[in-house]
Amino acid sequence: MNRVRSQASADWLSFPAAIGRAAIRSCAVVGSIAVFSLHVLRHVLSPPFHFREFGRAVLNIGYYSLPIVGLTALFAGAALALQVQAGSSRLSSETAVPVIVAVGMVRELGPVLCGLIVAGRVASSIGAEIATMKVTDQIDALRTLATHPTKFLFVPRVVAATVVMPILAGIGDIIGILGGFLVSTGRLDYDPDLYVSFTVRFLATSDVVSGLAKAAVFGFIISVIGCYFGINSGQGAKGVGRATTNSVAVSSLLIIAANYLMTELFFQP
Amino acid sequence: MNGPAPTSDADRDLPVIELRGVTKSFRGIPVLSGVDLEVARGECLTLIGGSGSGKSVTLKCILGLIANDGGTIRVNGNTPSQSCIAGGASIGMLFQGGALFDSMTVFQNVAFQLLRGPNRIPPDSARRIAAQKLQRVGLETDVLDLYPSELSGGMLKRAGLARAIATDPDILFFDEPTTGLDPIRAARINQLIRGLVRESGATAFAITHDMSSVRMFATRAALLHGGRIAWTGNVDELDASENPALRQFVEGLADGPLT
Repeated sequence: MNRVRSQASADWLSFPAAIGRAAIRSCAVVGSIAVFSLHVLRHVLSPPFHFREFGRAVLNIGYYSLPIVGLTALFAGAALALQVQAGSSRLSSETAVPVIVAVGMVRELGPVLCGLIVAGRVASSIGAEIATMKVTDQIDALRTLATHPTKFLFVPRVVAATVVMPILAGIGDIIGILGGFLVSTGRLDYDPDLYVSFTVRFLATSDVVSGLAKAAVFGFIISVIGCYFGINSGQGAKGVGRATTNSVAVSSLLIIAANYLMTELFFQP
Repeated sequence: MNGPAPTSDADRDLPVIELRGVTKSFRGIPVLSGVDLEVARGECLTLIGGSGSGKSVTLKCILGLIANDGGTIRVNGNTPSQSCIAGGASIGMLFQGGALFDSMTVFQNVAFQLLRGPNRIPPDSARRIAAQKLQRVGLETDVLDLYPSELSGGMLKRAGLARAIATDPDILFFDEPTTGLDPIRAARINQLIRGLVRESGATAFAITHDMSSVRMFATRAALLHGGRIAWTGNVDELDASENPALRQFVEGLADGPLT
């Protein structure tokens, strides 16, 4: 009887126990990522500097992400204009579309969309590249060639992503606002001069700065997470695949969470 | 040569690589249980043993790529660590699969150390040296601008070897140099290693389970079994030894102490 009761109790406890274990594992991963971030930051300002690797990272993260970021921003801005028009027509507010499109793109949609797209494209690429290098002994080879992997692989990618993301987000903002402008003037019969005038008049410098600051933080998150899961990958193709998936999933989640926290920080009611 | 060179006769007599009671476990499972080994200056020692016997772990501990749990390792008198590979000695390493950097050309791989660090040289000179080293390992200079993905397995090994000798290191390490090669290519790589080690006068440490490699380029061999050195001696003593583990390994017998 006692045995049956203890078995039932064990079954009942298995679910919360699993949740507890998952929570502890998550906390351990978060702590480990924080320690890894500090480790990378510690190496940012000390020589040697690998400028060629930095240039390659800028090209990969920034230049090659431009088309997809631009197209996404264009369609997002256009869709936002239509949505705002649908909502604001009930309030008969003429200024709503240009103002909300501009502010929405610059403060929120620009950096977040840019962050998520670059996370999908770049975090996966960094994670897979570093995991493959680890699996094929290339990381060990770097060290036997008297080259520190953190300085050669991680620092250039992290610095490049942090520097390039605000530029990408800025370009995305402009293209997004342009998308809203095209839809508003082409389909919703807005006067082009009036649209531009409202956009410029209501867009504050703090909106732009906060959006770009968000993008820089997202760039840091994307690159650090890609490097972290790459260097901590398991062996073989499965390890590389898991590193790639985790890089995208965790960086996307952290971008959304960081976006909320920074929005709280920048725009307190 | 940028590694610490011996400064006196006493230094010259010290072993270049020295392991004393080295232990290493993974998740509580012991792999090395007290390895004692010495490699003298100019000697070529081959560590042999079955798959999973801990040869690669020993090599990684010597290089400082993984930390040993117990015992001491000295390379040129210094302790290797993760921040100071092989105790700061001038080393060259040939990895099992070549481990060339995918994103770089063969030239950039071979000249990696020549183009970086405090002793870097101009790209033109580095290219000339890289071409010489490639020719030394039997590759044409037209592979300089190819990427590793465009090379065959044997060419990858040779290019890896060219990278290992690019800076004329004091110590050469080889990780299973003939694994994955057909017997003819394996024999050519063995010949090449013998020639390189003899002409450079470098100290060499290789791990392998290929007895033809041992007989071709090693001066001394050591058998790793049960996490310890079960036998060590000159290569010409291999066939005369009565050690049952060595006999089983050398003759490739299914039954015996090695599992």
